[in-house]
Amino acid sequence: MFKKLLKKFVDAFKNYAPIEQYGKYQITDPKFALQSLRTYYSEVYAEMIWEEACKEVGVDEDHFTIHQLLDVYAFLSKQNDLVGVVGKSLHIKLNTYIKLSQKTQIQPA
Amino acid sequence: MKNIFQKFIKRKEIQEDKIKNPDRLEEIKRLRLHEDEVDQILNDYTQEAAKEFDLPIGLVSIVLDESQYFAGSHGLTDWIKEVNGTPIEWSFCANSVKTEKPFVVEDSEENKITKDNPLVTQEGIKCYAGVPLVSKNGFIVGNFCVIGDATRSFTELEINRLKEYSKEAMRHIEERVAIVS
Repeated sequence: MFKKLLKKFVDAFKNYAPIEQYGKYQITDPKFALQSLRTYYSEVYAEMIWEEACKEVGVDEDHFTIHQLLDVYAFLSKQNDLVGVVGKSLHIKLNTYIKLSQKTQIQPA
Repeated sequence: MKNIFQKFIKRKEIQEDKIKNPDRLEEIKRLRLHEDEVDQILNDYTQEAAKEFDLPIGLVSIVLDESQYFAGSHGLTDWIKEVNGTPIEWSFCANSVKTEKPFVVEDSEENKITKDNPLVTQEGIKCYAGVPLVSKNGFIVGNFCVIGDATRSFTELEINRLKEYSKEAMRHIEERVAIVS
């Protein structure tokens, strides 16, 4: 289940080219999302949080865009407990990636 | 969603990680420092500090686990203003959370910690001085800092002044929580 979810993250990012000038700090690895949740929660609960968030936001877990992913993070950021802090953190990280992609004009065609 | 959030795991290695320590992050949650709320008082503190130090940027930066979030700011532009934060890898302020001390950079291009940071190589940060924001429970939740685009040294007196700003900002944050509660 976890591997399947991870693949979805990779798929969501695959059209985004690397931000070359941001060198080794570039955010091209989407694994951080589930890894973050799993840092604090068991694998099963991390997946439940994720699935519930997708459901609440109305995102199809099998077909979501990078901006829908941002919406999911925004939803997580409004939750109680540590999830809210982790969600906010993920939201900023992904939003940075999106904004920099736009700034460097390497958005997918 | 409430019930599914209760399976909280506390591994030893997370507890020892000063950035990811769940207790520190819980403190940030308690202080509501991750919420998208414009706090004019915090903005005013950062503006006042930037003006006093004759630098373009002042920040109340909250160090989360994967990013830093600016709960108060002055002088931000472009994408950083839109995002109102940066990834943790680029955070100067995270250094203070790790060391529990002020972090001062007089010339970012010469400093081995910051010289490859894209905020230096791409965004032009040249100098930085930040002091920890310490909650009443003793957690470092972030930094109060000033930033410039030219090299600059900071005196002990100036660092002490930043500490005063940090205490004032933290006092306001605690009071804000008490009022809401």
